Amino acid sequence: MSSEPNGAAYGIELAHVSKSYGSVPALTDLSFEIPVGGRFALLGPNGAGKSTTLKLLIGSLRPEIGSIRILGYPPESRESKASVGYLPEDALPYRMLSVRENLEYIAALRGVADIKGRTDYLLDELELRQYEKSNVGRLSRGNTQKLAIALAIVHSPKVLLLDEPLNYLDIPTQEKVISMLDRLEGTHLVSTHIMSIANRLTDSVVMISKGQFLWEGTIEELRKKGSPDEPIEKVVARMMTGAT
Amino acid sequence: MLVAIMVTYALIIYTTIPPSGMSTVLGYYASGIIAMFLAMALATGGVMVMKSDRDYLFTLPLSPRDLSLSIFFAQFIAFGTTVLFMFVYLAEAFTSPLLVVDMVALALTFTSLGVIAPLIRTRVRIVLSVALALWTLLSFANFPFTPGSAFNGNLYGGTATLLMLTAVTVTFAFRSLGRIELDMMKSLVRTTAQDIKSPNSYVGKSPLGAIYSMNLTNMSLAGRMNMAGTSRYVSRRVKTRWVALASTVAAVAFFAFALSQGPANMTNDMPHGDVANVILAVGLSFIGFFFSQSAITNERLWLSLTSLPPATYFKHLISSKVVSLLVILAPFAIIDAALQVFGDPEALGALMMILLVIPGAFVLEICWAAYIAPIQVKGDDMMMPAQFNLRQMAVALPMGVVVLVAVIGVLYAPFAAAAGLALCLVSALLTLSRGFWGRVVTKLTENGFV
Repeated sequence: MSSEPNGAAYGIELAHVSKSYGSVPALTDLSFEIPVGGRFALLGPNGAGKSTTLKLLIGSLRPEIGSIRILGYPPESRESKASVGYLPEDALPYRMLSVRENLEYIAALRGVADIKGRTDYLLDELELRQYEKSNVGRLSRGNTQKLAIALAIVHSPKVLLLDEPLNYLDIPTQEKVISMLDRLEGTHLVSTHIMSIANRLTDSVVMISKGQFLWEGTIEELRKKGSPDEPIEKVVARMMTGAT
Repeated sequence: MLVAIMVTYALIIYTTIPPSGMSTVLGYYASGIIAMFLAMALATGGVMVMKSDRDYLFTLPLSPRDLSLSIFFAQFIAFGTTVLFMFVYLAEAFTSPLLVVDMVALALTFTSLGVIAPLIRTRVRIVLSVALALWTLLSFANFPFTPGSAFNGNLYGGTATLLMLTAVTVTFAFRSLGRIELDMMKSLVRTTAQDIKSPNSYVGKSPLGAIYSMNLTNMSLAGRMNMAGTSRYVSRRVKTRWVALASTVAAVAFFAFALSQGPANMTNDMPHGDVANVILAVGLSFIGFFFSQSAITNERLWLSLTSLPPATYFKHLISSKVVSLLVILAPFAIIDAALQVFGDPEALGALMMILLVIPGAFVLEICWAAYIAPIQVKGDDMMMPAQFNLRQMAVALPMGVVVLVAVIGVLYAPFAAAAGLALCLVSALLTLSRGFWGRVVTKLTENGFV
């Protein structure tokens, strides 16, 4: 049963969503749901429409056809915005602010009650304390990514949308971030084209290709679609390309 | 766009300034341009290379000195074209072939300063830039030995000074080019980032309080530099109080300059007062334009618009930016009000420009830039020419209209007042329009804004 005030059963719902850029279709009649608390990977080859799906979920883009709900609310609603945390691929914080200024500013915009406490917690958790006064333009790509992750979760979101969250991170930091994300409650949708990342961060998969729904199930079910000694990546590749 | 502005400016000069006043105009114009270019070349200079140069050309087995020289030569051609372009409209006032030599010398000096600049510490560079600009502006006071004096009635003294400056800067530049390693050259195009010494705190701030705090405490100026076919966005964060101080000093200097023209010149048809006020209004319009470009180019949609509804966020963002702009403009408004009292007939028009036209146009420039596909500043890297398209180039189009309004508005105050009120009304309607900002967000997202 949902613990949401409005009784929503799904953290994320897309129903018959279509979106195109000019004459180029990006998504066609895409439908899937993720239950509240679900940890799903959004898998698909390059150009499948993963990033477009996330942009629709945060309300930056609107579908031409179909409906989208976040915890039962439209993505552009205040309720949805308050609930969602979003990390785009190649995320860039405000480059003329320091690391601490970025965190405090976004925490204030998000209406976080204890801005200082939350900022300090994230600076320590992601080992950014030594860079807190640094201009973001000075940070390495890895530290920028750590800051971006901190900004996405600064308000403890109920629905977390992550686009390639482990990009640019070294292996120890990847493990730290995986552990931290694992401890976060809520509904998670992780867009990636790397199966091992999906395997570490989620337990279920929504697969799309060429903007269309392809398959949905647990990673275990996905594994069973191949022979016992077949790497799961091969299974996924076969499904995405339609090969038998 | 620059062509449109310069053609407009040239037409205005030719139609409003009597032939007898042309040499005076050349003096003001040339010295102002030279001062600005000298200061900018030294303050923001660097060896301009494209990202593809860094990634591919620099990795080829070519002599670093050959590469450096070829880049220097390319920049010289670019600066030379710019100088030619800036002065060709006043060709009528060129009374000596020596002025052509001066133009070549200027292009060499600008190029050389750009090469030397990154080797000088930032603070020293800023001081030298200001000193160079002030030295050049001394030509207004008929000082014969400045880089601008040749255009201000001191042909031989000015030319000799300029040639000496050129000899010094070119020598230093060539010595520097020989020493510059490719790694160094790569680093020259990057901003030197340091810790932020007095960071702003947002603890205890409401969402709207945070927006106003961020934009009223600091100001960001941005502009696209395009030299030798290489474009890059430059944006800088400056404390608002320092901008206010600089603005006040500039306004006082303008006041002193205007008064030095004397009441007699203010009330007759001599071009001094007209030109000074027009240059002030046009100059402040450009500051408003540069300021407007940073409003959206530095925005981060994934952070701001997932926090607040677009219409709410942009309404308050723009309001805070307008207040910041007024901080820059306020000293000039006070000075123009005072000049009006002293009998300057163009001061009222300039005042209307400052209080109504420039803020109104500023908001429209933000909306226009947001609507017709702006480029997001993502880093200090060079931008490839293919990253630009005609629509993005059109971001500067409204400036042509604003310059035209500035020129007419300074001369006819009622026109400035009417144009300003109309601009403010349209700006307010757009700022408050939910539908407009919804469409803007879609356009920004579709254009790759993160």
